[in-house]
Amino acid sequence: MGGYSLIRVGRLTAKHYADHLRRYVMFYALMAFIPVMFAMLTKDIELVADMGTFMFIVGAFAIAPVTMNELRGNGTKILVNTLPVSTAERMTFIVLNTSVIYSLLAAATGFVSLSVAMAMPFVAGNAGECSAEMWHGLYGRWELQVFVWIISSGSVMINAFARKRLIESYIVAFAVMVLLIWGLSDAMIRMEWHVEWRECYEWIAKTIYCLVPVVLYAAAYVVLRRRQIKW
Amino acid sequence: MMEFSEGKPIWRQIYDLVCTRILSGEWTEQSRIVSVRELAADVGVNPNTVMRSYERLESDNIIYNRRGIGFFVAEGAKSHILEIERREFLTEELPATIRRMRLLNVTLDEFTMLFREK
Amino acid sequence: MIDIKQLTFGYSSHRNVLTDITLSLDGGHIHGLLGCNGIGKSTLLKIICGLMRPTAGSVRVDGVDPSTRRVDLMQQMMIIPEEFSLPSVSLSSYARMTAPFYPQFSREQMDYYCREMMVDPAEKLHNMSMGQRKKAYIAFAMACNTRILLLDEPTNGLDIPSKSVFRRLLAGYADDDRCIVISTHQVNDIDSLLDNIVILDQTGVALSATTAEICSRLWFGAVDPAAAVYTERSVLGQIGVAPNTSGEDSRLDLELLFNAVTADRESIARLLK
Repeated sequence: MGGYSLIRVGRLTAKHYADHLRRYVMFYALMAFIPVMFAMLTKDIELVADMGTFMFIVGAFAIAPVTMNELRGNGTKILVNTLPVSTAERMTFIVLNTSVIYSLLAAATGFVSLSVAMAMPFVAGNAGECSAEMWHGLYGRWELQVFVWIISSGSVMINAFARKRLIESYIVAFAVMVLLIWGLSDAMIRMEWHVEWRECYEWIAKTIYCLVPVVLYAAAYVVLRRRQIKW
Repeated sequence: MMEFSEGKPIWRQIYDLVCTRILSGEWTEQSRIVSVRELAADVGVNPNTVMRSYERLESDNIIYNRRGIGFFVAEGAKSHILEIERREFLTEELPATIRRMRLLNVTLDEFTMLFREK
Repeated sequence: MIDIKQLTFGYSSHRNVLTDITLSLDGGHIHGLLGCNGIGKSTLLKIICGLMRPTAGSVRVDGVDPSTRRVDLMQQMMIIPEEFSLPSVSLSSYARMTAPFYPQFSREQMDYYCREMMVDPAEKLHNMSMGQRKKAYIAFAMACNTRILLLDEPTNGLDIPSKSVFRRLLAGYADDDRCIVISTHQVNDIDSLLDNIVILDQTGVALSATTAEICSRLWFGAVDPAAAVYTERSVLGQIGVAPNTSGEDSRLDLELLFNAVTADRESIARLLK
C-alpha cells in the first residue's frame, strides 16, 4: 500500500549515501581538513575548536544542495525522481540529513580534526582542554545547534524554490537576511523600551527562535509538494 | 531468429512458420506446440499478433486448443496444410506464372519439357 | 490503464508543448508512440510518470493521478528514459540499493536479462559504453516487473544484435496485465512488437488505432495512385497507402503510415472510422 514508511526513509538514506559517497567524503574531509590546516599554520591547537565551529556553520549552507541534488539535473535525474518514495518520506530524509545526521557527522569530523592536529608534533596546546571546548562549542550551546539548523532549513527552502539559479538565490537570501538583521537591530536601538521588554518575554523569544527551523522545513515541504520537477 | 520480409503481415508469417514446422515434421500431429507467449518471446513479436496467428490456425483446423494445457497439432494437419497451399497455388501463384509465361512468350511445349525433366 | 483527457502542457505559460491530448492506453498491449522531433513524446511520458502536472486536462493511471506521487502506483511504474545518469557503481550494487523500492523485483530475472544482452552486472557502469549501460539499465528495469513500462527511444545506442535480443525480451515481458509504451523514431527496430499505434502531431492525437484495425482498413505497398490516399517514390516505384478493398491484410509499414498521417490526417482518420 501507499502511506508512510520509516523503513523506506532509511532505504532512501542508504541509497542516497551509496550514490553520492564520493561527494560526502569530500565534503566532510574538507570540513575536517580546514581546521587542521589553520592549526598547522598558527601552530595553535585551540584554533581547531573555533575553526570547527566555524566549519559547522559554513557547512550548513552547503549540506542542503548536496542532499537535494536530484532536484537539479537537466533531466538526467529522472530515475531518482521516479523512485517509489512519497514526498513526505523524501522530506523526512531531507530534514534528517540536514539536521540530525549533519550535526552528528560534523561533530565526528570535529573530533577527527582535533585528533589529527593533536598528532602533529609542532602544534602546541592542551588537547584535553581543547576537546572540552569543542564539545561545549558544538553541543553545549543549544543556541548554536538551532542557529545551524536555521541555516540548513533556510538552505533547504532555497533549494526547494530555486532549481536552476542556486547561487544567485543564495546571494539574494543572504542579502535579505543581512538587511533584516540590520533593520531589526536598528529598530531595537531606536525603540529603547525593547531592552526592558526582552527580560519579560525572553522565553517567547527562545521559543520563536527554536520554531524557526521547524517553520522553514514545513514551508519547504509545502513548496516541494506543489512544485514540479519541470525539465 | 526471424527477420521479417516485406509484403506479408507478421501474423501471416507466423502462421507460415507454424505450417513449415508441421510440414517438416518438427511438430508432429497430436503433439503440443509452443505457447503463444513462448513463441512471441522466441521471435520478438507481440503476443497478441501470435495469438491472432494461432486463432487463424485453429479456425483452419491446423491446430486445436486444449483449455489450460495449450495448443496441439490437429490430426491430419499436414495434409490439410498441403491442401490449403495447393489451393493457394492454383488460385494465385499459378495464374500469375501463366500470365508471365504469356508475357515472355514461353510456349506450352517448353513448359512441358521442363516439367518432365524436373 | 492510462487515461489521458484533454491534456495540455507547457513549460512556460505562453507556449504549449502538448495541446488537447485525449488518449487511452490499455493493459495487455504494447503501444507505439510516434511523432516528429520536439512534438512532446518524452514530455508525455514524464507526465504519465507524475514528474509534471498538466496545465489543463487530466492524466489517470489505474484511476489515480500520478502527480500525487502515491507510492503504490510508483511501485508499478518504470520508465527507461532516453538519457539518464547512473552512479559510478556496478549494476549489482545499483540493484542492491534500488531494488528494495520495487517489491516485484527479481534478481534471477535481472541476471537472465544480463546474460541475454551480454552485460556483466559486476562491471562498473561508468566503464561501460553508452549502449552497454543502456542494456544494463534495461535489464534492471525489466526485472522490476512493474505493470507499466515506459520506454523512450530504447533502441537508441544499441547495436544490431542487441536490438534483436531486446525485441525478444520485451515480447516475453508483455502480459495481459501489463501496459508497455514505446516512444520512438526507429520504427523499424520495434514494429513487430507494437499492436497499438499512437501518432502525435501539432493538433494533438493524429491517430490512435490498433495494428489490426489499421491493416484491415488500409493497404500498404504498391497502390493505384488514383485510389491512394498517399503516395511516395521508392526504390520499387510508387508506393503508398490506400483503402483496403481486398479481404487480405498487407504488411503494416509504419514509415508509410507516419508520412501519410503527416500529409493528410483527415483522410486517414476517415478511413479508420
